[in-house]
Amino acid sequence: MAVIMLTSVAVLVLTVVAFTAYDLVTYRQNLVQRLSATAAIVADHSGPALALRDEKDARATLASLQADRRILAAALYDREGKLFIGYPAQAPVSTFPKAPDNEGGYRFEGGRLVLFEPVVEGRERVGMLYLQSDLHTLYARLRFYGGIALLVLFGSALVALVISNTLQQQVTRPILALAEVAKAVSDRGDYSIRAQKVSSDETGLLTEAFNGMLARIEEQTEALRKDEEMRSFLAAIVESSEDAIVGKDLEGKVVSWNVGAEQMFGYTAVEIVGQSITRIQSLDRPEEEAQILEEAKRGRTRHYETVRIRKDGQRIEVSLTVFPIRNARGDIIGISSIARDITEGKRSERLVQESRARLSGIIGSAMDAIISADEGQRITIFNEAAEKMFGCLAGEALGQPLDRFIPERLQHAHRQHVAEFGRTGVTTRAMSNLRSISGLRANGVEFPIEASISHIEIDGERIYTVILRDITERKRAEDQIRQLNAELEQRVAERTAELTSANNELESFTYSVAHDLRAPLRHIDAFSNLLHEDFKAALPQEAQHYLANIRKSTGKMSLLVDDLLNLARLGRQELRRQPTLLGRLVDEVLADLKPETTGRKLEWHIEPLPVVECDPGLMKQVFANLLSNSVKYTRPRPVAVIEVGCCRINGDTAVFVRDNGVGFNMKYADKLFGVFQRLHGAEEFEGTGVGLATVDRIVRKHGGRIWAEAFVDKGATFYFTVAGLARGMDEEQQHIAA
Amino acid sequence: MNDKEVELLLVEDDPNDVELALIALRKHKLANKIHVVRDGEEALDFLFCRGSYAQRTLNGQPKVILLDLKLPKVSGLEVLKALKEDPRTRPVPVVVMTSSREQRDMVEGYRLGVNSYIQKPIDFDQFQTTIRDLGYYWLVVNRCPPPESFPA
Repeated sequence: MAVIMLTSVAVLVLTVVAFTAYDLVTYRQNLVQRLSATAAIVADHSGPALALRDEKDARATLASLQADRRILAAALYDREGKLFIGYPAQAPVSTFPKAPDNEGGYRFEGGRLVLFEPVVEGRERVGMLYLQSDLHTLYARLRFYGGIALLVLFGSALVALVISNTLQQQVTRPILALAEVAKAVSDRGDYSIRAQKVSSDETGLLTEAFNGMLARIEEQTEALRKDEEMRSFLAAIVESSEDAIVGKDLEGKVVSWNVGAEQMFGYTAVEIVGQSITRIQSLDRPEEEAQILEEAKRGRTRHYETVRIRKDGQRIEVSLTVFPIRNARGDIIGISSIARDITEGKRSERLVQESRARLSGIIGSAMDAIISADEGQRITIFNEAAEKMFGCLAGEALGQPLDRFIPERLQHAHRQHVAEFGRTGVTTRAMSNLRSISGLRANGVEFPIEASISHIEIDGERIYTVILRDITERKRAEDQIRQLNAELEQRVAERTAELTSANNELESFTYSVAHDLRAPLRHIDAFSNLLHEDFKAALPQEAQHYLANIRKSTGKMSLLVDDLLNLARLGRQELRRQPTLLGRLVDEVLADLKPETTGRKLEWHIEPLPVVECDPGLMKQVFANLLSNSVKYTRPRPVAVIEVGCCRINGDTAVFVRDNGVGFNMKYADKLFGVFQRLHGAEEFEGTGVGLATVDRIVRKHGGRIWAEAFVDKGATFYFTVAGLARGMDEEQQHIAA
Repeated sequence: MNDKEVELLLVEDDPNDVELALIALRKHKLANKIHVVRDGEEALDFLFCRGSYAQRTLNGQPKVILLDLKLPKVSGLEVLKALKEDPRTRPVPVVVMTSSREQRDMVEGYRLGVNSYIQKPIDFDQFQTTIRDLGYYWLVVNRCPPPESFPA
């Protein structure tokens, strides 16, 4: 509508402008012609007056101009161009130009038309006429035309508006509606929208055609969508398949390669599409693919089991289905193959065979009898060991009821047991404690067995397997062992009793030695003493000497008895271990030795000794013996030097007692610790020969050992170890260091 | 010997020991009121005033009993046990004199309440000294239990 309006207004405006311009130009030319004519007349009339310089005449001539109201001013200039006379007479001189144009002519200036006309008299120019005309009429005319134009414009615009409105109702609206629908369709992609048919004219036809087109588009779009859906559905099936699905062209080039194929053969689709399928062909079957292609090209669907080579070189066994693909016309345009990896299946098949073979090997070579029976307790497996055990060949046993090998009196219990087991799955694994478990050999002999039973269900059928061990031998051996054990226990008890009584005898012997042997000794000593004291004067010299010998021997025997008793007691004495400061024991012994050392020169070098877990009473005896020995055997020395200390020797930690005494010959060292063994004469050094034996026994009771090093006349060193001495010494050294 | 005046009861089966003990006591003038019994049974008869000692009275107990351990019939430890278990004889001081060096005898003796435990020295000089000290101590130095300590 706006276009229509604009067009009509533009046309009108142009028309009016052109018409007006033409009229104005014509009018102006008329104006100039009329003024030029007036000027020619006036110039002609004023010629003589100007030539004669007749002012009055000239003025009258100019006054005639009064008739034309449009002439606003006029003037005559003389030959020299000086103003001669002006009109209107009363107009000021400034109204006129100072000098005239020499050529004459006209021009529009300041809304006025100005004209110069030369005044000629005869052939001679005598002056110049000046006319000034008002353009008032021109402008009035212009205004009139403008008003007319505006009126026309307005009117025609109005008419145009009315007409276009009417037209629009009939033509534009249906088209606009169509455009609206087209926009909606393209915007939303919804081809189900239809335009409404308004009329049955051309726009109606157009709408129908448009709707028809939309309907077709909609149908095709739906078909396409369904196609696409089906395609992606099929593609998804192919892609999600674990089987490798491969499309090939007739030359054997790969055209499609699903995920299953990627996984199975190791090549990605990108790598293999466009390549020949022979890339996954096994080298030892070079013609295979060609044959497969050939078969497919003949339109046959074929199944194969063959070998393929993965990208990584691994061989896989596959089952292949190869079939031709035809186009709509039925021409073969490609080949599809579906491959399934049966490597695992083949392997498990082999494994099953292997394990079956192994199992039958195990069953065959088992030492135990292995018998399987079905639900009806008919024997299905009867191994070699079973043959031997029951004295019956497998051929005879198979298919027979199990009862045949069970003593009749136990068959009922056996059936119950199996039923119970079948129900609960619980069985006595080892039935040896059940005395009633017995087997029945073919020759009717019963024998004890140990059995375990298991069952498995295969395809709903229950199979029982019993493993039996003939324990006849074992039972016999067990009985023997039991008997032997009983005998042994009996013997041990007897021996223990013997030992106990021997021990008791020994104890009472010791007791009687302690008591009974000492008593007569005391009496001998006492009475010989009394004899000596009370009857000395009456006895001859010799008798006195004998008496003294008797007394000396008595004293010696007394010592011997005491020492022996001490030694014997050690054997049955329990150690009373407690942490003991060895140094304190040494101090105590030194104090006890005081009486023996008075009057002698002795140098003691006593190093600190550690604390040791031991029986302090017994350990004191050790020091007492060793130190008194040292004191005794250094007697010939003017200055006796006796050292006591603790040292590491040959990897052991030992306490040592060293002296500078008479020493001994090392070749007798092994006799040193024997009972009654003496290396020195009794005349020289007194002693019972029991002391070191006692020391040895005490040390050994403490988990240690004793030894000695000596040279004749160079002194002796006694070393002994005790359990825990090394640790004690370490602690002692740390204590000293601290 | 008047039983009532017994100050020291010697329980000893070995005649040699009896003789030696008496010699030693005599030497030190301590042998005046001594009574010797030869076995444990006789010792108990004496102390509990029964059998051949039925005429004795319980309030005339000795000042000390010297008791050997190894005795016929009833052993020294059994005698000790009987004495120390009975309130009538418990206050009487008992000194065990033995040649045994068995530790367990000593332990048992003290457990039963012996007042003193002496090992007979083998050496006669020492024996004499020991007997002298013993007699002197128990008969002279020690204050014996007053009659009130013996229940009627």
